Amino acid sequence: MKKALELVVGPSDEIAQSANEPKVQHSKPRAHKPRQIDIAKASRQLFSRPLKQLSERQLIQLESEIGSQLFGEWPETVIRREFFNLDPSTWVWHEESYDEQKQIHTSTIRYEVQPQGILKAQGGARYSYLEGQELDNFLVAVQLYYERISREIYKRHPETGSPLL
Amino acid sequence: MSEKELGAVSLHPCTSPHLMGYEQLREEQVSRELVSDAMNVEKGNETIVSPEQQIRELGVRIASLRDGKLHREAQAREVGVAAVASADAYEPLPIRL
Repeated sequence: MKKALELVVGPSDEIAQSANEPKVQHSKPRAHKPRQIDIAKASRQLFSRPLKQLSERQLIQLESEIGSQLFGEWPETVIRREFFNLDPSTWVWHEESYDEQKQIHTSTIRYEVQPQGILKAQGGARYSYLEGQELDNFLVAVQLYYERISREIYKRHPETGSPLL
Repeated sequence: MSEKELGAVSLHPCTSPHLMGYEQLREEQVSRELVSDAMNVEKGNETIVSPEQQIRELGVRIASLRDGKLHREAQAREVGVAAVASADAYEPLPIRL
């Protein structure tokens, strides 16, 4: 899981920590703002290098930029948010936020698409299958993710797969 | 509220409809499903796709988009490298003054 997350957010000691284990922050927290990255600009920059091949990692990073925007504005306490599709059967949610004591908390959730359902694996060896409203909401998030990356990154029509002009 | 529910609510916004455009998308989705269901019922071949199945299919489509992009990039790179090599190999005719 750590390896999968490093694929997108890069190596970090914070990732090694368990989801609920707080990390004491010694310095005063900076004012955190959600990353306002222009996806179209970023993809233009990446795709406009004819002899520089894009890696799967870079594509997932671009996708994660969109994924992090799907859930609305970040609360003020959130420092970082990632939501991406790692492979056809794995989705990853990662969030870093600080509490009133200025301690940073990381939360990483892995969603595994299994024959029995969508398994939600959280830190602390907590496992449960998605059901009810949570499953519906996850489906909507996945649909939004697919529609947006299809149009904004891959320039393909989400339903037909034909190139967008 | 059970501990499980509490943990889920505090850990993940998927547990509450905070998704941007959620309501609109949900309405569109419901209307699309209704139209689709009505058409299927008319044809007598009603099909029910579970959320799990839809998520699975979208995951496969995303992988396909990614693979397609990487494949096209690789092809473009091959063409580009070949073009550069051919340009390097090009020897201009001597200039006659």
